[in-house]
Parts: sequence; structure tokens; C-alpha cells
Amino acid sequence: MFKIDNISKQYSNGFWGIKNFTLELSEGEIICLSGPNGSGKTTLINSIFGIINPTSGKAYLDEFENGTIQFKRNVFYVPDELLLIEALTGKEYIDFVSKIYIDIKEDFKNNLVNLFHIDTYLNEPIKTYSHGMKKKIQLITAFMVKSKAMILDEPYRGLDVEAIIILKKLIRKYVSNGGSAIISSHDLVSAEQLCDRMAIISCGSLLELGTIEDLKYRYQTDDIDEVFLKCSIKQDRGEDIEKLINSL
Amino acid sequence: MKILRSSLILFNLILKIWKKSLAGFLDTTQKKVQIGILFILFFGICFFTGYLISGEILTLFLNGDSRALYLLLLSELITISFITVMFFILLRCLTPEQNTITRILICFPIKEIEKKIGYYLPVIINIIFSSFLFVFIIYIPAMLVNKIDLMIIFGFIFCLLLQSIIITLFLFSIFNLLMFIASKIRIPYYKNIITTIIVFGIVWYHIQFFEVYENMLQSYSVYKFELITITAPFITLFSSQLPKIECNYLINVGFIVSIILIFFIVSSLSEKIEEERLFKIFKFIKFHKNKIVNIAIKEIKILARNEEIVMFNILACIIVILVRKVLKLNISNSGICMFTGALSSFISIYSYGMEENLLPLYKNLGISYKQYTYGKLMGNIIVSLTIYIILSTILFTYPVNVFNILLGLITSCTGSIILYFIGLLFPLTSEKPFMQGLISIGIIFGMIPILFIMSKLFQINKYILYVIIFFLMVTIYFMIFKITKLKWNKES
Repeated sequence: MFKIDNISKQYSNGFWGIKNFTLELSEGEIICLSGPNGSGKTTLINSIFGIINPTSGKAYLDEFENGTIQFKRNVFYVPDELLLIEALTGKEYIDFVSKIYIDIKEDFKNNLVNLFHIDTYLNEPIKTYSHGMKKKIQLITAFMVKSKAMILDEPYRGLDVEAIIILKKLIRKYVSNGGSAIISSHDLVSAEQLCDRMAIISCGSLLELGTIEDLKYRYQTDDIDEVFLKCSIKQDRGEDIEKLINSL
Repeated sequence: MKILRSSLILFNLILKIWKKSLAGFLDTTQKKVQIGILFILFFGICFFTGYLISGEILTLFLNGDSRALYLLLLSELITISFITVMFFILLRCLTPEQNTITRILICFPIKEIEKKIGYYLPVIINIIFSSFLFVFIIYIPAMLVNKIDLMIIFGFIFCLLLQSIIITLFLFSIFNLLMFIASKIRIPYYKNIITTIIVFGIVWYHIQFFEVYENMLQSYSVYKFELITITAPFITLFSSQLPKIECNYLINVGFIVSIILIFFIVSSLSEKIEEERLFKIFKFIKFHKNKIVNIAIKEIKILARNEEIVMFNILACIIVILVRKVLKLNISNSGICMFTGALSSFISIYSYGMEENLLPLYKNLGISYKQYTYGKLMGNIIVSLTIYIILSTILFTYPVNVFNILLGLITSCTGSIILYFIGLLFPLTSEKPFMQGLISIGIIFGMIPILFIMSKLFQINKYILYVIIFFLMVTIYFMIFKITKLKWNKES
């Protein structure tokens, strides 16, 4: 089980990036983490992986605490930012990651490369890749590693339609094999298709957590966009948006 | 073994990145041949000069002056310490992807110590190997030719290698410690600022050191503790032919062991990546309806907020302080004003390259190449003059000489235009460190004959010089517009 236990991050200017965030994720479950820009999604993920120092709280995978090697070995993170070593070719970067994670079968790696259809460009430096191709390299490394949980921050950004479809199928396959995934995304339609539960976060706080059906029932609507708007955006802000659009 | 495995993977990765950076730089046969010739010439000159210098000292030693060899060792240790520092700074500047690698590795299952070994080992080996090779070529052949005892040669090699290792570990410890502290207190652009502080500290140390260096040579039989000659007393362990030196070996050994221990302790500290702090200087300046003024304001803001330029300005302050200290100059000396003026304009070399990729954006905004160029030049001149005034205010504590200040202002303006022109011809970005290095060296070496010709002309007839400078400036001014137009039209 993957557990985020009461994580908070307060910045030096007093601003709370994330406040008392707690979440449990079962094996084979996908949770969508959604919220407006600056709501604290990336701060939460960065705190989990020790990229920034959380003010308080921990995350666990089974008995392994975040920061330990076992935790990092079993929880893979695909950041929104295209963090890749651009001087290397795609093949070299994939080889580098596979050596760090040790037991990765060559066939498995090659199948992923073929699946994302980037074998032709694999021997070119990453620097020359498009945004989508770089994202594909990140995703190949994520799925070739035999992790137990995966956190994907905006995984669809920059991908073409075919790659998005492949990615969704891969995530389903991953969880059917016992993995768990947290997907941080603004794409609510994809979230509705793919995720078991949705966590809505705003101003650093977890506002709602439940299945899509539960959330729709709670907000008396059939539309997931409306759930999001009602939940994450305050009523007066909603009225402001309407006024501003009408004034244009 | 597990630690070594992960470290080895990182080790290979760093070597691969260097290899690729070098291959990217030497991408044509012409460049390879040029660098090859330079390389052979450089080492040839080093070998020849080294042979001449050390040959004489060795003859003294062979004629019975046993202190000559110890003095030679002292000078070799100082040389290798200097070169090690140079390679350390060079390698830190030439590894632009370090930050990305560190950020990628945070989420990977690798221990902090594995990362540090994997990351630092190639850097340390490279620094020590390069420094040693350099000194080896200069001094050792002459020792072999003069048939110096093999044990003494071995002793020299031991002392030089150890000296280079100690200096490298010391620099890494200081750098990492400062980085760790700076990441905690969140100083903007702290990596560049720390590199600059270290460079300043080292240069300052060497200047102070040379003042006591002569005394050291005179009283050679008593060893005076100095970091850059810390391994010198160990030479006496290798041969009885060498003079006895009064030295408390325990202090030296203790210091060496402490440096190694501190290096390992400091290496286990990991700096967290917090949110980046950036300068918002000139936030109060409002944009204007006039396109040229608008571009000039934009230029002022981006130049003042650019990380490398901020670092350069700190460095400029340090250089001016050092030049004044070393040459003992004051405000009544026009040289220091012109030098400060020229230094303040150096930032203009980055101006075009920094946003060359934004040319299509400006075109889409309906800006013409003339408006763009006027705005850029205006912005650059204003920033250069501001830097000149700041540098002068901070550094000139003597009564102000108006003529010299004016001379500095003119140098700053003309320098800004000339350097913008060079930056237009060879666009510089932080992603091209080799190019940056080459251009900087090119400018420094190019300035020597130009200044020589200028001073000769000044002696013959200063009005001829003024006319030449005027026509040169007019030509450069028109060339800037011509080249910008070509680049502007190409970006369609």
C-alpha cells in the first residue's frame, strides 16, 4: 500500500504550498490528483521524493519510508518537466536508467521503444527531440522499471493522440499487474476514463476525495468539469469568471 | 561492491557527457586540425620553457648546491596548485548539465555517497591527471636528461601528485560546504556567486602568498606552513642528498588527513532544491508606447536580471579591486577609468545571443529590425553606463577627476557597441561554454596588439587615433544594422 501521511510544506515567506495532506492508495488503484495551477500538486510530489524538504509528514510504500533506497526503487516518478540528460541519445539515456535499476530485460525495453514508435530517433541526441519525443523517453523509462507505484505529473502534455491512447493502456496494464498510480493532471475527461478515485486539491488543501460517481452525486451534477469548478473554485470566483467572459 | 556499481554507472555517464561536449565542439576537421596544432604548440612551448628553467636549477644542484632542488620543488608545488585551481574552475564551468543530473538522480535509488563518488571521481581524476601531466611535461624531462637520482624524481612525482589531490579535495570541500550553506539560506544565483567567491579567495591568497614567497626561498631550511606547499617537506624522505628541513611533520600530516576527512563529511551533505529565487531588479520601470524605448526597457530588465551577468558584475568588482591593489592605481590614473569602463561594457557581448531564438517573436509583434537594434543598443549602453557608475562609486575612494571619469564613460559606451557587435557575429549562450571560453580568450589576446597599436598611434599623433576610432565606430555601427537585417530576414 502507498500512503501519504500528513505532508505539509510551508515556504520561507509563510505560504503553505501543501497542508496536512493524507492519502492512501491500494494495490491496483489509480488516483487522479487534480487542482488549479499553483494548488500544490507538484509541491506535494516534490515533498514525497525529497526534492524539497517537507515541513512535516512522510510517505510510505508498505513499510518503506520516503527517502529510503527501497522506497525510491519501488516508486517511480515522471515529472512534468522534461528532465533528461540532453547530451545523451535516447538509447543511451534508457540504458543509463536501466543500469541503475538493474534487472530490466532487454526485450521489455525494446517492446516499449517500439510501442511508442521512436526506434528511428533513438540514436539521435535528446537535445534534437521534440517535446512529445522527450516525454516518450520519460515514459519508456518509467514503465520499463518494475516499480510498485508510479507518480505521473501531467503525463499527457505534449503527446500525440496515439501516444496518449498507448499511455492509458499501459497504465491500465500496470495496475492490472498490481501497481498503483497517482496521476496529476488537468485532463478531467481522461481522469474520468482511467481513474478509480479523484482527489481535488486547492490552495494546498485536499478538498475532495472519492470515486467519480460519488463526487458527481455529492455535487448534484453529471459533469466532472462542474464538479471541479464547484469544488476547487469558490462561488464568488465562479461569478467573476462569468462576468469577465461576458464583458469581453 | 554495490556502491562501486552505481558510482561506476555515474562515472561512465559523466565521461560520456564530456566526450559528447568535446565532440560537439570539435565538429569539423578544420577545428580538429586547429586544436591539434595548438595542443602540440602549447605542450612544445611548455616542454622547451620548462627544460630551460629547470635545466639551469638542476645544473646548480649537480654542481653541489643541494638547496637548488628544494627551491625547484617549491616552485613546482606552487605551479601545480595554481594549475589544479584553474582546472577545478574550468571543469565546474564546463559541466553545464550538473544541475539536471543532480535533479534526475534525486528520485533514483542511489545513495548520496554513491552519487558523490560517481560524480566527483571523474572530475577529481581529470583535474589531478591534467595538472600533473602539465607539470610533468614542464619539469620531469629536464630531470631525466640531467640524470637526477631516480628516487628524487619519484619523490617529486609523489609530492606533486599529493599536492594536486589535496588542493582538489580542499576546493571541493569548500565549494560543497558553501553550496550547502547557501542552499539553506537561499541566496539567488548562489552557484555562480560561490564560484566567484572561491576564485576571488584563491587569487587573493596567491597575491598575499607572493609577498611571503621570497622570504620562504631565503630561509628555505625552515619550512613555513602554507597550503600550496604542504607536501614540500616530504621530499626529504626520498633522498639523503637533499638538505634537512626544519618541519613539524605531524602538522602537515594532520592537516592532510583532516582535509581528506572533511571532504568525505562535506560530501555526505546534500543540498535540497528549493524554489528558485530570482532578482526582480528594475521592477518599477514601466513599459512605454514607443517600440524602441520599449525594447530598451526590456533589454535593461533582462540584462540586469541575467544570472551570468549578475555574476560577471561581481567578478568585475573583484577584478577592479585586484587591479588597483596589484598595480597600485588610483582615480588620477586614466588607465583604471578606461579599464573599468571597458569592463562594464562586457555584458553587451551576451545581449544578442541571449535571445537570438526570440527573433521570430519580435517579428510577429510587428517590430522592425531597426527598432530592435536601436532598442537593444540603447538598453546596452544604459546598462553599461550604470554598471560603470556603480563600479566607480563603490571602488573609487579618491577625489574624483572629471576628465578621467568622462574617459571611462566614453570607453563604456564605445565598448558596449563593439562588444554587442562581437556578440552579434558570435552569438553566446550559456549552453555553449566552449564558445564562451574561446571568445573570451580571443578578446583578451586580440586586445593586446590593438592596445599596442593604439598606444603607438597615441604617441605619434593622438588626433589620428581619434579619427581612426571614430571611423571604426561608424563602420561597426552600420555593420550592426546590416548583419541584424540579414539575420532578421533569415528568420522567416
